[in-house]
Amino acid sequence: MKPIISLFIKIGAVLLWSISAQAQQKSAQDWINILQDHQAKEVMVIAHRGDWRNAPENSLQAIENCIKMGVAVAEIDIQRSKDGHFVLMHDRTIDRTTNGKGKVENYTLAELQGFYLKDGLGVPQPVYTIPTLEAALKISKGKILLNLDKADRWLEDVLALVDKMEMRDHCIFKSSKPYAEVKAQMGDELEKVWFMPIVRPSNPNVLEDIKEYQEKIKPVAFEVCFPEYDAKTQAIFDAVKQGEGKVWINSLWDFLSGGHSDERAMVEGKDETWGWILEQGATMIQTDRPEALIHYIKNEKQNEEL
Amino acid sequence: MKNKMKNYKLYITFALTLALGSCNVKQSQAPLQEAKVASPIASKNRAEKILDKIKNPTKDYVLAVAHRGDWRYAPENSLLSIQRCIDLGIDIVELDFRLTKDGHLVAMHDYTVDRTTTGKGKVSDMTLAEVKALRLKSNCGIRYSRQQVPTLEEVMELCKGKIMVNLDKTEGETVQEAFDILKKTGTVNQGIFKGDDSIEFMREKYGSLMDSIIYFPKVWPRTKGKTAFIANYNREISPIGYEMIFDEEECFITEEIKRMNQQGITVQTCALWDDLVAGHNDERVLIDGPDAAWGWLIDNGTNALMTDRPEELIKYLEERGVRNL
Repeated sequence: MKPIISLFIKIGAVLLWSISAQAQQKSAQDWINILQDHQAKEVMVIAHRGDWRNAPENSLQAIENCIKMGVAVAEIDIQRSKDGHFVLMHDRTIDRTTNGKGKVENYTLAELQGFYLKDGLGVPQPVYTIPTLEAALKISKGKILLNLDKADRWLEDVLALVDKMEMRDHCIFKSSKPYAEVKAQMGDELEKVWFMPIVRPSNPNVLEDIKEYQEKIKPVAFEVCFPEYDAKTQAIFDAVKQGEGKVWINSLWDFLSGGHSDERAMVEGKDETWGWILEQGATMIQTDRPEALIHYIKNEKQNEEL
Repeated sequence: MKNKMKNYKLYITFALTLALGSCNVKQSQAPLQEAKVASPIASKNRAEKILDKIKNPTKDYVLAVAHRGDWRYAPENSLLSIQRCIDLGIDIVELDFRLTKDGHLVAMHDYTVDRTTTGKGKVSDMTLAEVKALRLKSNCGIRYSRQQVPTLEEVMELCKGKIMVNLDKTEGETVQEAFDILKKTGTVNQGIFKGDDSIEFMREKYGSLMDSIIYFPKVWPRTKGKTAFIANYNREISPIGYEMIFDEEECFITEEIKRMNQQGITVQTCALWDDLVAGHNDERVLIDGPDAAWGWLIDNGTNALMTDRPEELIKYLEERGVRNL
């Protein structure tokens, strides 16, 4: 009798555990809600070029891996083929990331899809091919948000595709330019997408630029890039938060986050780097180590606060 | 409904695993403590225990070999990628070494530093100081890291007593130079040399040095006179291991693997790319699951498995119960 009861208790425990695990896995809608709530404490992790450690950068598998890890936003790069299709590719040429050579714009989609993506050792892996933006949107729908980099060159056509997939609320656009320039380029679309300005303390007018953005479109977040942390950087953080926006920091390299980089986090310590970024009130962090950062936030940081 | 049933079954399996797991822990605690006190094996360091497994391969232990360090975690051939392998519990880390202009062996896969560092040019045209001034790139070539190119000496100091090092690219070229460093660092028993050349060639070039090093001959489908190639090696230096490469499931090489299994010689295979293991490679793990790739290799005689996915391989081997060192 006893072992049976304990078995039932264990089954119950496992059931509860699996339900709570499912509850932790956020949907795209959850992330959209968090994105709009400047007071939300949840940290949004943005994976640079997808999970490029475990799959080729800008591959569908790299996005799938991000979804499984609990990444909020996958940052992907867009180029356009000769016959007008959008594909995921960082460089203008396919030399570095595939077994082919030449510019993306000189190949048709069918030709591009005949190449293989390289793994991290530079070896082409036949299971990975260049994905279309459409395929990337499809696997992301309902699951993860996308930061579409380099899309501004064909904004109208990219948005047409995004609208066809009914995924405008999944897509984030960014620019380093001041409001007037971006408005001239994007027109009415600027108010109808998630748009985040990129700001730097090296810009003498940065506080005015932030204010103008806040008055005109009240962005949900500002990306702050700073080679060193100083009073001006602090003033930027304060201005963004006072305007009810989120602070987005890139921990990719030292010069983007005042030395608080992913590599330092792994080598010298996470509290001094990612922990420091969180202490500044940043709730969006773009990283090349999404798995380790999510683990840090879940197990070491969030527990302190909750 | 079907799904629900499946889930239910899954939960029961989970619960059973939990229940059984807790029993196992209790049972195994006592002998473990005993072993600590009584057995002379306890005084051996980890590298020595690993070497014992290479010398006497058994079904209950599959050696995990990491290709170029854990390059998904840190730049390939960097100290950080090696430290990560040590932390993961990897047995053998496979690294590449090339000679600088001023005679230092440094960890570098390609002839040039172009792909993996911030610099350009051939290793053989650069001094150690010039190589040290460079920074390694993250894999995929995404900008630079803080990591420098390590020397063989730095690598062996890091690995001493902890992990075996498979010295690639030294074959037939820099075996003597590498051996000198192993001697200097007291790690002669931790270096595994490899090569495609026949024992006749190696004898002529290195003489009795071949009797002082651990050497795995590599046998490829293209190797000429395979039967004699292997027989001559066995007669001359009785290698404790071979690296076997095959592009078909049933061929001379896979037959030879069975013979080596019977003779107690360690068989190392490389799951890196499909034509090295007849399609049972790492990428297949993602598509068809680990049993179809790594499992097949182990079932077919692999004792040492080289991978580009060390973290996942260790997990799989633990699940299979073949990691009892």
